[in-house]
Amino acid sequence: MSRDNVGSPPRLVERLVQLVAARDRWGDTLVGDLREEFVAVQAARGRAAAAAWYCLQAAGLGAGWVWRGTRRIASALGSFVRPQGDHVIRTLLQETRYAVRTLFREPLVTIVVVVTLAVGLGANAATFGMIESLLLRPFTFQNVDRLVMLSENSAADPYPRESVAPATFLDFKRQSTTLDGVAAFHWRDVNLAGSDRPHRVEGHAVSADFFRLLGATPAHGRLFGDADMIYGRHHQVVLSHSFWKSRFGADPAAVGRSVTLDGQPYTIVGVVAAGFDFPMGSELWLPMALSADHATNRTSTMLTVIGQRPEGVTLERVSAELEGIYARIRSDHPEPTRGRRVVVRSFTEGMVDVGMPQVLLLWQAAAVLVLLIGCTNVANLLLARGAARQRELAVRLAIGAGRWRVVRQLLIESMVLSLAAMPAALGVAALTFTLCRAAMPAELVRFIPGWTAMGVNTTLLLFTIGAALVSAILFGLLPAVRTSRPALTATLREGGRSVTGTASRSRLRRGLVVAEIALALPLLIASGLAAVGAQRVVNGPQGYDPDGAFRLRTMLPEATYQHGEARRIFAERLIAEALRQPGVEAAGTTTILPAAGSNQTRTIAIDGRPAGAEGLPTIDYRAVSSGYLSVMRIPIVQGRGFTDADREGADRTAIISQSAARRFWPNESPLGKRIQLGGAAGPWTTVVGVCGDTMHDWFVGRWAPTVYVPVAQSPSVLVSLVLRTSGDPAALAAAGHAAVAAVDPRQPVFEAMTLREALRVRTTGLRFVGGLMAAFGGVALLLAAIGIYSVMAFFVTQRRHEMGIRVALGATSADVVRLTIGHGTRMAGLGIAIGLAAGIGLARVLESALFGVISLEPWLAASVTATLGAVALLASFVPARQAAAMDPVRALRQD
Amino acid sequence: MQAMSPSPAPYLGEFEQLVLLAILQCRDEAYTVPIRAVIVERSGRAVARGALYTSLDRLESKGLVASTMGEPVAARGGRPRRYFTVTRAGLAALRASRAAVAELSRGLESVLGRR
Repeated sequence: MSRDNVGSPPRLVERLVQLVAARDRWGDTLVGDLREEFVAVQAARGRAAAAAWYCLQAAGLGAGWVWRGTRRIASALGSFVRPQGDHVIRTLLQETRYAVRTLFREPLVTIVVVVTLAVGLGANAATFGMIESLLLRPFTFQNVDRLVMLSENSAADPYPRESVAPATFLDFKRQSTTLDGVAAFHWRDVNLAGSDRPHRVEGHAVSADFFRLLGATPAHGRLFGDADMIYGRHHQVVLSHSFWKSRFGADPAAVGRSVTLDGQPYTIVGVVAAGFDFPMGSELWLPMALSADHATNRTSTMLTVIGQRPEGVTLERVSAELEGIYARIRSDHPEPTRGRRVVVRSFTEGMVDVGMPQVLLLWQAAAVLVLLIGCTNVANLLLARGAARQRELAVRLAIGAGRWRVVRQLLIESMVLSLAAMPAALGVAALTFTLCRAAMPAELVRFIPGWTAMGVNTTLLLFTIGAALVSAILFGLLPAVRTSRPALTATLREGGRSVTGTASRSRLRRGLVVAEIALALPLLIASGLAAVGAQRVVNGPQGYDPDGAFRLRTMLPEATYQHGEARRIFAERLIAEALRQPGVEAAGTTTILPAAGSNQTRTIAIDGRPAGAEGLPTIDYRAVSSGYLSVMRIPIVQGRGFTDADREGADRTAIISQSAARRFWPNESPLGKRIQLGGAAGPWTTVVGVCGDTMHDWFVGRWAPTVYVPVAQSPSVLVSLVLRTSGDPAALAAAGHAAVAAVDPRQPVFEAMTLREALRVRTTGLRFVGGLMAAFGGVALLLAAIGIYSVMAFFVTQRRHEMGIRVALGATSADVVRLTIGHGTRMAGLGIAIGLAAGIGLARVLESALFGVISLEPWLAASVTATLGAVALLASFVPARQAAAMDPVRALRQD
Repeated sequence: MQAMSPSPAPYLGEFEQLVLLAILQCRDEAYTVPIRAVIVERSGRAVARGALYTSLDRLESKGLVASTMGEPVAARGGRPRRYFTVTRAGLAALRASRAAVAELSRGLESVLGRR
């Protein structure tokens, strides 16, 4: 007895052991053995050692217990998938063969199912393919995963590109030790003088490490090195492979030749290997040689800066280092960096367009909804077929097939169906890609990295297989479980006639229809809103008149138009020459046109108001000819327009848009107020008028605050010409070109098109959003209609006998119609109630995702709901009519 | 009549032989703790408790061992011990297995070494 008092194992641990061992028939023995051995260990080695020993034993037991449990679950799953005692593959093959035979027995059902799934899976494959190409892997440079983008901007302007000042770039480049190279580039289109007529070339100025970081190699000659970046020795150019082919006939001797860019001689030093045209379809690259002035500039955040992380260095580490560097910059130069911060992103994330992720995810969500609706339809069909197959399944169950075996068989059938739909689904995806490509204007393709790579590839194939299998389980499991539980004796006794779906089965079918409507309605509302929203932006008021006008651009080289006077004279003569052309009734110039794809902004300082902590606000800026606003038909709503008196030497004047007036002078008239544009050093300018707002860019520039100044007082190298006519604006192309050539024959003309066409090109993205969403909505509506119809038709068939009795007992055909439609109405009503709630939620998400292009409009939600309701009614009305037209005698006799 | 004909002794696995031998070694004290201790001590190999219990179960279901529950023991937290004895069938099986091993080993002394 004395030994027993020595002690017992840690109580909690022993309790756990008891718990684990409780269900084992050896449990008691085990606990006893452990206690007995514990006492022995304690006697030999002391209490602490014994306690440790006991815990170790317990841990071993626990691990064994978990392991066995896992094994048991795994083997239970295994025996479901794998028939016991049979050869796995052989059995699966057998069942697959059987499944295929079954599907051929009812080809119509199979075709309907396969087509439905092909549409649903195809929509998902297409949207996933876009996400893959445009969002996840738009670039295929070597080490693209290790490239980062650095930005230096305010929290209010998170746009990561063109966001670093030259001096900051040089600091990053010199001071960063974590990055294996830092490079910068900026847009630098140039005028290329050629044999026939001047040509506008898409170019970029790039720093020395640019090509190395992006893994570009020369096909001929060399790429840039540090020596090319020295200001004054920078007249070198590297050509893209395709530009070299199209412009120089792929002549290797072109390397070393001189070309005239913006009126200056440049030497072609190399041609980059085929396929490289970063960024944005660049045709040539010039060295980014910073003059002494530029190298110390901290205000013009015009550079896009990229860097490369060495293997093993995380984004966080780079981020931490650069934040340190930037903190020093900020303390050394507080004024130009006010409100700014450094952000390090992955290169891909930085290059993806603002809004692209939201739009793509919206499409994917819509596609998933379409697939779910499709799955609901298919589940319904399979349930119907399951009802017809009761006898077959009852026999299988009666002769000893396990229920899981029947479920497995039915699931295999679902998988076969789903996989059969796969080729067609990939076809749908490929077709979608083709249609998207055809709809995308060629001039935009270069702005969308990954667009050309979009297509059916291995990743997409794997995704589709995965989606097909998941859908097979989605649409197959419910019917399989339900069908494999038939009332055996009843089914067999009835000689195999399908029973009027047991009550629970028809509840399930009704539930599926309700779910279908509940899924379709949000999608319909979303697509309706997107389509209407897009339509409104594209064809609605723009703030100017896009019809009956033609536009073109030219860009004055700084080298040949060095002084403001030359630029002012160019603009004035251009208008005079344009007005001389036939058909031109009015002409004006501006630096930036609406829907032009580029923008020009200035900081604005208001007399008497010091800058806040975030620095000065910015405003869209345009230098326009005196007649520009009237040529564009932008109304003056307050004050006056520009006149020829607003010229060089006179008091500086400005006209602001209504949104600018609201923002900066919310409670007073802006007329007569003084502003400084472009920082505190800018000249004082007086606001003389307020004009209407314009839709500059649907994405981010709708009704943006804008300031207009007379080009005579602020001449610019950016020149856009607008011509108005009462005839066909497209016919003014020749007039526009002639006008430019008359002023300066060396000036290339680009982006020459009607205003309407420019708007169309500019809103391509939005039209895509609207178009695809409308397509999704249409498919959803169609699928929902088919689903409701098939269920109603099924009910009518099943209840023939009952209807026959009712009619025989005196029910009129109106009664029968009412009965059937009442059925459908109840289902539709429930589905609509659920769907409407979901739809309103989805619309709220859309509102924020699409920058307010979309707003929830009650009339639209109501009309979409009414449409779906009407479709539901119609889908149940047709079977109802059939039921009513039935001859009761025949209906009764048939059964 | 046929049922009377002796069926061949069931095949014993190596571990089962060890368990049977250990039970015999423990004589009157043949319950789980000493059985395991004897095997560990004499064969020099680690024996998982679970493996021993499983093996005892199997041997009992084959009728090669029989078990009886003892009195509650304070040192076991009031739990009884389970005592095992080797049945006649168990002894026969053990003999047959050992004979088979001996038979197969004959003439291999040069390879296996003499005990």
